[in-house]
Amino acid sequence: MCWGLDCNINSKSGIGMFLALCIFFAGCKPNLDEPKYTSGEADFTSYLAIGNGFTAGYMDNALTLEGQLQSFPNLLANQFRLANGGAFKQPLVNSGNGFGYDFITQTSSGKLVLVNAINCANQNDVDLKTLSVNDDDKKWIGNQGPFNNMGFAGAKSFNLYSQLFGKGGVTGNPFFYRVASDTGASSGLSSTVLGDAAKLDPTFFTLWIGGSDVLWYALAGGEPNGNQFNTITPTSQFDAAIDTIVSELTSNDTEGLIANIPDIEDFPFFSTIPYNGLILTQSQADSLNLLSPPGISFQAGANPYVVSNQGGGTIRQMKKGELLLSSIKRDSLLCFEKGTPQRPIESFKVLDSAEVLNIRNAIQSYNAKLRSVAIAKGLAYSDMNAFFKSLSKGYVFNGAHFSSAYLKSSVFSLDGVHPNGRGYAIIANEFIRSINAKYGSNLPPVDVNASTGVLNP
Amino acid sequence: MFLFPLLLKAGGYQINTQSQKGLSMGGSVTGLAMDASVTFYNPAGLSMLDSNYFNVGACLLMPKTAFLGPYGGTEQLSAKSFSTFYLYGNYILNSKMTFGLSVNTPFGLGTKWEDNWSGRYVTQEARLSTLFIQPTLAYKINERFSVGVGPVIVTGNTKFRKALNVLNQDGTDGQLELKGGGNGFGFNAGVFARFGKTSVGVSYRSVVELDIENGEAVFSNIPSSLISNGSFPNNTKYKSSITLPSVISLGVGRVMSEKLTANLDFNFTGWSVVDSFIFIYPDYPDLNASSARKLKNSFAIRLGAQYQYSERMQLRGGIGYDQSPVPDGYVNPEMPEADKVVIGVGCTYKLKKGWSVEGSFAFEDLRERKEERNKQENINGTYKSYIYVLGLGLQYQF
Repeated sequence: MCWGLDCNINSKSGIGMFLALCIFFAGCKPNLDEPKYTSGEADFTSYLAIGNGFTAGYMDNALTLEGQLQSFPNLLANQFRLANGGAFKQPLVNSGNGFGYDFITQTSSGKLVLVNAINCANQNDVDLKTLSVNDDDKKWIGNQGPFNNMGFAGAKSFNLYSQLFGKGGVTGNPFFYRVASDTGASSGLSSTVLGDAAKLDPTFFTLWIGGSDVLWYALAGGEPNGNQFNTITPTSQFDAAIDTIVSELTSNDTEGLIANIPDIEDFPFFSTIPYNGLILTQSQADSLNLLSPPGISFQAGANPYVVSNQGGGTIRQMKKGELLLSSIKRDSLLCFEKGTPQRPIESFKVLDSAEVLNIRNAIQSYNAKLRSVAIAKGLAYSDMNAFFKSLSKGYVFNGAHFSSAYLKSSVFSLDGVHPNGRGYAIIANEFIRSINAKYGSNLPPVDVNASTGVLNP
Repeated sequence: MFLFPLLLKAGGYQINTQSQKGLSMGGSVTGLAMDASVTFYNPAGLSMLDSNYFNVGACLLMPKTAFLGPYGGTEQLSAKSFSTFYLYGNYILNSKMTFGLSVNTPFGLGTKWEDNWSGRYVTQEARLSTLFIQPTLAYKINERFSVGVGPVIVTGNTKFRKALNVLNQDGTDGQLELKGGGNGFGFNAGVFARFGKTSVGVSYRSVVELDIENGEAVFSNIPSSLISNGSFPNNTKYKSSITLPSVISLGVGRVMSEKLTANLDFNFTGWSVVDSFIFIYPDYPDLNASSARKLKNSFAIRLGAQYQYSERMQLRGGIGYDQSPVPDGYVNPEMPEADKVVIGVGCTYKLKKGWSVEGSFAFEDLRERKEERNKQENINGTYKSYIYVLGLGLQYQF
């Protein structure tokens, strides 16, 4: 008997040969050759990432090990290594709750997590819970440097060359204090971010700075209350700082990338609660109207919240374009405990039109400066302002649909300002695109979904 | 919003393994009447059979696909083979009429990727199996012409799994599994003509719509907060439908010599009826999803030959070129489609008392295909596939 391929062979071996051939063929898997990656004109041997919390991988209101490992600089460094990139050392915290710091209240805490909760309306809901800080994560590890990731939450432009910045505590920055090679214990003056970074002899850098120069003003509701930290860095000071920083970074013709600053309205912390979220029935509106001072009135449907004017005393209804901070407890809005004439929202939870304008003008001016410096120095430039705006239209990667809203499938972490792992990965891919375009490299993007997103209880 | 579960479709996975002769001749048999499988390939060809046949057999399909995303790291379809079977019989009622019965699986699909692969939010597993039952009557008008027609009764089953972009606190994904089945009807008709040594066959198989009325959607590993706030159910019903397209085939067969017969086939598959897949969740309308497919009508050209090697033995070979119905922008890992070359070989060996055994092997080489701007799910990358098919059959002639 014969099965087809070689019919001069006797039956048994004919079958055998045919099956052997089939199995041989069927065992062959298709192959695809990966492209050869090159760095183009860029030299990624020693990569320095410099900036604020966005560079550090800060997320969920804390510096955590998972955040650092998923930071955009770490992702970039992994891709750089496919070409001529070298080691990338980060000042890692321990695994656990991480180390967060609130510059307004000057208190430390661990990261935020989402937990199941019952809200004031007796519905199943989620709530944020702040975990406790691990004091070990605040300790000085500056003798282990130099570090390639020099991003520090709260860092403003001019802080990067400040000799007070490494002193920690109220004077300096507790995140740079951990890392500074000299915390100024003997001289009273610490090492600087730029000074310590220079020890790496960087061949390539990313600079993403300026967000903290406005963010803390915004987080303070536009009311610095005498705290210098909560003011907007004047544009002249910002411009001078950028000149200083970039000249320092490019002193050896070092190549790199500068990214600009997103608008705060594009962060869910400032965009989640609508100005007119006070939803009333006709009878609720009627009873509020009875008790309302002149100039304040309500109708059935959506009404602007009532807020205190700065300095207290008088109240008003919010206007379109004004922003509410997400630090207002959601429950209090849900159950009419806030936002009515009787219980106005405190002015430091509100960014009024003038404050929003102050912030917007500062960011516009910062971004103009960042762009002109990037062009003048021939550096790659990534328009993160436009990119964060584009995220509001949604973003899809390999079937995962992302939004820039709060929670659900957001690119933002639970603090509503810093991205989560997938958000940082999406940003890393934007930077890679800019770097490839500028330097002729062909680095591949990262798999966004290999990082973590919003973790739901 | 999370759910864009495109059920797999028989997309380009129209399975041309409906008989050993068809498989080994590259699918090129519409112009020939070789055995009872002609019931399926061209109902009119039944009239040209000069005896009764009974054919039964099965094929094992082994698709192999490599995927290379832009982020690097080649990923392979996790090993998965699936089988198809067929059963054909004809009975010559009188000098004019022949009855035929065809039971087979002309559409199907089986792709399975590793559960945690980079495209898991698009698909992890997609399966479609169909069963076509077609009783057929052929009428011989005269020695030259015959016609044939038969209703087609179809039942189909699907299974689809994918991960959902909702993460638990341990970082694991939510998971969706859709299972459903449906029935549909259509018909198959053909004409056949013989001019001396040349024969010509034309056949048309209609569109069949499988309505999944009571599909089962199982959501698992969903964070409890999203269940308790009503965003996701644990289990719910879904509705969908699967369109199996029409196929027009034109075949020209010719007796080249006493021993050699050849056939040239052109096939036209009306894939453009598949515009998108729609999933309706009657109890959870927020989950309703639609996924554009925009399939294009596709052509195939196939050439096959049979050689009478000895009195007992026939050898066959064939080659075909199939155009992919999936346009750029809609290439999807559940159906990693590309234009392909099909090569088949096989033989029939005559045993005693009318019995024969048949064996065949086919190799499908899909062109490497690079998807750069995927419009559905932004899943980009390069695909390369081979499909191996091994078939065995029995024939009884009486």
